[in-house]
Formats: sequence, C-alpha cells, structure tokens
Amino acid sequence: MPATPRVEAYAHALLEVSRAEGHMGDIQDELFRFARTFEGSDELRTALTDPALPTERRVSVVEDLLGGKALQASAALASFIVAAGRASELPAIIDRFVELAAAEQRRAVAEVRSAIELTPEQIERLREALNRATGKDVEVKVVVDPSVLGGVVARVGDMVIDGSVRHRLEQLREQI
Amino acid sequence: MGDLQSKVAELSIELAEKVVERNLDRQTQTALIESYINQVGSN
Repeated sequence: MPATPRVEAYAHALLEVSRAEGHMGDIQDELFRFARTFEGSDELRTALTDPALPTERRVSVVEDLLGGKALQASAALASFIVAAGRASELPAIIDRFVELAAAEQRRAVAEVRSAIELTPEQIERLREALNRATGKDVEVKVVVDPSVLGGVVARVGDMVIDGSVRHRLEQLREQI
Repeated sequence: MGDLQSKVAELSIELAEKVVERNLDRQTQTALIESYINQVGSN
C-alpha cells in the first residue's frame, strides 16, 4: 500500500533525525522491532491509541518499554509519533522510514575520471556496471582529467577500479 | 650497472608516455572506455 502523504512526511522526519543522530542502522532495527511489538500486542495498541489517556501517560508507556533497552533517539522518535496522536499509523510510518533509510544506505557516489568526456549513454552503462560491481545504487560524477591519459578510473567509497592508461604505465614502471 | 638499467627503464617509460599521449586518438580512447565498462560490468 503506498504511504499516505502524512505517513511519508513523518517517515522523512524520522529519517532526518536519525541521520543527524547517527546510528541509523540501530535506530532502524529498534523502531522496526517496536512496530512489530505494537502490532502484536492489543494491550499496547489500545494504550497508545487511547485518546482518553493523557499524552504524558501514553509517552511514558513508550519510555517504559524502550527506556534503557534502546537508544535515546529511538525512544524519542517513537514517543514523538505517539505524542502527536499518530500511534495508529506508527507501523506504517516506521516501515516507510526503514525503506527510506535502506535506500539511502544503498546509495553511493562514484567519482569517475576519464581523459575525454563520456557520452550520456556510456555514463548510463557505466552506472549499471558499477551498481553490479559494488552492490550499491551508484550516482556517477564524471571528471575529465587529461592526466588519466586514456581509459577510466572510478572511486566508490574506499573502492578504486583503475583502468587508466596512467595506471598501466605506473605498473610497467614498477615491473622494469 | 643497476643504475644504468634503471635510467634506461625510466627513459623507456617516459618515451612510452609521450607516444601514448600523442597517439591516443578518439577511436582508441572510446575503445578503452568501452573495454573498461564491459570489464567492470562482468566482474
């Protein structure tokens, strides 16, 4: 089911906060487990969605559950959803947040150096090739660098795939 | 002797670089890029 605009907005807010706080992976795991607990417990669902219960009480239920067992940021984000009166949408918000965070973690920038400009078609095929080689969703940034002499050198994070003529000459130099 | 050898090697590489710089025409450049894309994609 596609996320409603409100679920989408809350999920983005969670993403922003967890990015700022770091530990995005842990926050994802903890909130994902919390969403499953919420779904699995009628008692918890009733308590957190009960409009008759004061906000502080609902938030304290979350704090009691997560306090000490999860990161402060995870507890704060879960409390935020509950305090806003959106507990009924909590699993949808968290699931969408986990999706967005996973997509963000897959993304990577490839810095590509070539002696000559690449055509858009070459860039697209290179992007697909780098996706396969790195297992990431790569965005290609091309830098025209005559010192490469010929061929291409790509850097994705710590990984360097060097197919430049410059590199081959360097290898030759070492061999002789 | 070793010194002479390394000087010869150094000169050879420099010569190779100059040859490469002058002779890498558009067609060769494109072939190098194509070969790179194919190799990265097949690994």
